[in-house]
Amino acid sequence: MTWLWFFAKIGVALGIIFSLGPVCIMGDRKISAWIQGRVGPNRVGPWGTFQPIADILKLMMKEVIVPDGVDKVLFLGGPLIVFIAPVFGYCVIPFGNQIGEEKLQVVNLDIGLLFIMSVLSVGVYGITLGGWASNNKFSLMGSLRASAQLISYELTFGLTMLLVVMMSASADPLKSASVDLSKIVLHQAEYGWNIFGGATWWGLPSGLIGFVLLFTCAMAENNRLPFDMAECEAELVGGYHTEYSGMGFAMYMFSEYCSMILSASLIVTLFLGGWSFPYLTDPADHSFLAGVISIGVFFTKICIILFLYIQLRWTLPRFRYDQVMSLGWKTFLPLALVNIGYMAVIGVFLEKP
Amino acid sequence: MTFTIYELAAMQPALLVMIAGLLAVGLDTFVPSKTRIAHAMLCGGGVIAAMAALGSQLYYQRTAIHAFGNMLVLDDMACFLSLAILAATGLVLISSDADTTRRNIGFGEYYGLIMIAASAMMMLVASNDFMTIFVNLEVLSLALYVLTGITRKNPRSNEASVKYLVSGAFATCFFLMGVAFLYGATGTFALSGIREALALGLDSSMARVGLGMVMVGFAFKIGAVPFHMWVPDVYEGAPTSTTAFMSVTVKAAGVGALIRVLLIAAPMRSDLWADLLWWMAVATMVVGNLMALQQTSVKRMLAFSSVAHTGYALVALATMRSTDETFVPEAAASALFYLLTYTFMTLGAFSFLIYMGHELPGKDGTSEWQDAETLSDLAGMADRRPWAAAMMGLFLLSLGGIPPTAGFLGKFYLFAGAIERGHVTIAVIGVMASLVSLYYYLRVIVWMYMKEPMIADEKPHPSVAVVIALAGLATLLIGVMPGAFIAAAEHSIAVLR
Amino acid sequence: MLATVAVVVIAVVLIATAVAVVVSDNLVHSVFWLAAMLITTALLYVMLEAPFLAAIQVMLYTGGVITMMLFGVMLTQRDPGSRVPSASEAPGWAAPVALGLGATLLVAIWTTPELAALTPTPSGDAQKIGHMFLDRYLIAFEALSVLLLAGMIGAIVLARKGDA
Repeated sequence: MTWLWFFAKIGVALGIIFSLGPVCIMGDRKISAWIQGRVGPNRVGPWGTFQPIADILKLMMKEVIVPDGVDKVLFLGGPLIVFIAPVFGYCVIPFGNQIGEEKLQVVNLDIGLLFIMSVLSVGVYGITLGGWASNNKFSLMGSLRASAQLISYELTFGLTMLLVVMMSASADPLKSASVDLSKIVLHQAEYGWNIFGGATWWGLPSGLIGFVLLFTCAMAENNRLPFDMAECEAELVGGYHTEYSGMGFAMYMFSEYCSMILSASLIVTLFLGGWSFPYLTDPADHSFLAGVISIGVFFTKICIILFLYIQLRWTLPRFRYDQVMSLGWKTFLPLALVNIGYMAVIGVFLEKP
Repeated sequence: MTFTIYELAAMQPALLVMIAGLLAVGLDTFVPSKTRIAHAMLCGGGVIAAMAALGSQLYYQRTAIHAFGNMLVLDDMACFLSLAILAATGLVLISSDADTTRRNIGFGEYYGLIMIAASAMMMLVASNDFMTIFVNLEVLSLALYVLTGITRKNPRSNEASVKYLVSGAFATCFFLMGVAFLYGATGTFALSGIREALALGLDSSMARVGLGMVMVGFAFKIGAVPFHMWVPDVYEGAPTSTTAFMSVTVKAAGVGALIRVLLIAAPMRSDLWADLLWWMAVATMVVGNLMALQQTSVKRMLAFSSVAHTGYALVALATMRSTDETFVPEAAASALFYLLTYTFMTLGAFSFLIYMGHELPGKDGTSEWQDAETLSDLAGMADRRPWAAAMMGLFLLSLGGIPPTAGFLGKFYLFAGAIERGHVTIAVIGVMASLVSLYYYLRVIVWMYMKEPMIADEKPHPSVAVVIALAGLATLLIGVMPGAFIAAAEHSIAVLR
Repeated sequence: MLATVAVVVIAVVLIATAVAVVVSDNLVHSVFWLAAMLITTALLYVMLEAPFLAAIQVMLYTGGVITMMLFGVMLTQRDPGSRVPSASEAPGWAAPVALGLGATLLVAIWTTPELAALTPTPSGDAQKIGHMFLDRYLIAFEALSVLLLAGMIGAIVLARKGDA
């Protein structure tokens, strides 16, 4: 029975990623068309909905070209590694409330947040590796930019996560901090979402700022427009995946959407109450129906965040590279520091010991 | 565990030094002038304040302060060595203005790094736990790697810095592995805890290997044979002011920490380490002196001589276990006293090299500062710079161990103690080695006094003259009236429990 | 039993990757092997029931340090494909010394009886580790920040533009 649950949970987690991935690709094209006043893909299937499948088929048919002078092992290994991060990261995301004794989370790690941080940091390698192995100046530039950007924004990312941990600690009856994601969600379900300051009224500004920071950093970590420094067709041809074709390129593209989904899940989990919604879910209700509803809530929230992502991509102008860096180091990092400083100091003064 | 504000007093001297250094780094923003007098004054203030704090600890407080769960202890030995380190730091700071302006280093960070290194050394000699020992050892090494390479356009300096970094990292591996083994064998990082574990009979082979590796790590840092390979290259390549600073302070801090480890963690198991130290001391004395014989560069010669002097200091530690198997911890006092004398004479000798520096035409028309290095740089200087040359002669005689200088007393105290405890062989080897060393020390004096000058464009800086005078004064003072210093050294060891 | 097999496998991979770091002719490959080695070390920590340490290991070393090293290598290498011969100049005596040292360590570990009484039970609990840092090892923890500061000042001094 335990094993059955385990595989079911893996199924749901992978299902979220792999079903939302193509939907994202489709959505990206449809929404962009909508924003730009075009029609968008409409030939394959009803309203063009089979377009992603056609895309994938096309990419699978194509020859994988390995150019001369590339580092073969690393060149082929890059796309694989970049794929690992989002899939691994999904292990610890709680995508629903408890059903009976089973938490709807593939593995319930005590160190959930840290696990995600470390997995995301490994993801850089795929990009760096691919870019370097291509033996192409543009690819190298792209991969270096990508990793520089990732490192820069990871700091703010981490500090914002720390904020969430602090908020969760102040909601905890024992006032003990935890990096366990399911606990963080449970606290939000019981005492209020972190974006609105968690359990306390004075956390409100902190929560709002933290949400904006995490949202933006996640966008930067995914190398999405307006932070697409790694690809930027205008300057670097195609960035780190210039030399990739066929499945190699497909993996890079697909993993970008996958990590987008992971980021959206993370944002939902950390700031938007995870699977909880007032009057709709009850943390104490462990019935099957409540579990399914909580999964639905979680799924809906992810979709909203993903829509925001895609919409922002097609409405905001691109940054210049130096602007990306100065935004990360000179604005976000100090802001995040002040934010957790506020939370810590106020917490000491206003909270009953 | 609760900490009281009182415990901060244990690290107050080190903190004062560090704060002064960090302020000096920040001062660059506000004092954009070419001369760095303000930095030197600020750092000097920090050094004097720390000395005052140590003095008050020694004369008014008297009892040792055990702070932060006994991880730091400010006892008499820590005060003694901290004062020696601070004296050396102060002297280097006085002459640093000459160096920074001439070499156009001009960085406030230069002062900051010196002060951070000094404060880490002071914490190191007060460390009572492998955790603090390791961290402070790393802080001081890191600062010194950078100070070695601080003349960035000089390829020799860069090379020295990288060599120092690589060999230092290697030494750190040994040290860390040793600490891990000791932890595995005894279950604690605290020196006193390790002693208790050893007393309980936990002297497994793991603990022995751990202790050995820790000693190898220390030997690397203080430059004892066979882990001395980096010393000549690094000392020669580094700017002379850095060489002067690190040659004296690192030895004081490293040997001090080693004494504390041996006397607190493993006093009753001296059979585990005494023989190892004996061989190391002999090898260091012999190799250091023989290599120094062959050098034509005075700077390199002084580097090898510093290796040899490490060997002399180790003699005191190796002979703590007397031949009739009794353990005499008081013997370590002679090592402390020797380190004190060594501080002033070596600092003085290196400062003389800075004093005799001259400008070399560089590649692109600019001139580049070059400290005196070879014998020919110093030839005939007795005529033109009689006072400075006389002082250099004093330092060299002191290094060679000629009365009435400090070096003589240091060696006398050391070897007499060794013979008293029955270690005649090592004492004889030591005396023979010092006799050999006289040859190369006197050779420099001969060149200074009996040759014709070969360079005519040396540009002495008055601040370096002050350093030379002060170091000379200290060398003579310790040589003429050593009583107070020896008493202080003996007292520091006596209270070390 | 399963745990023993896992540890052995991890150990073999660990040693293999470590050797690969040293013998690889290509600097970038070396760095990637190093990353692989550090991740394997993290797995070892997991087997030793220290998941917190494992996560930190991957986060800091693989995510931070190695990425920095990659930057260094990629930006300073003139020819990205250039070979760096890694053979030691003195393998003749280096190998026996290294093997001897390794044998000594192994013998030391083998012959030491297991400790039960003295060693406190290792804890992978993040909270306990945090308390240790701010309590028992406070001073070492604070001294580490000085270490980082010194490193930062040093890096800026050596890398910045300007004279000298």
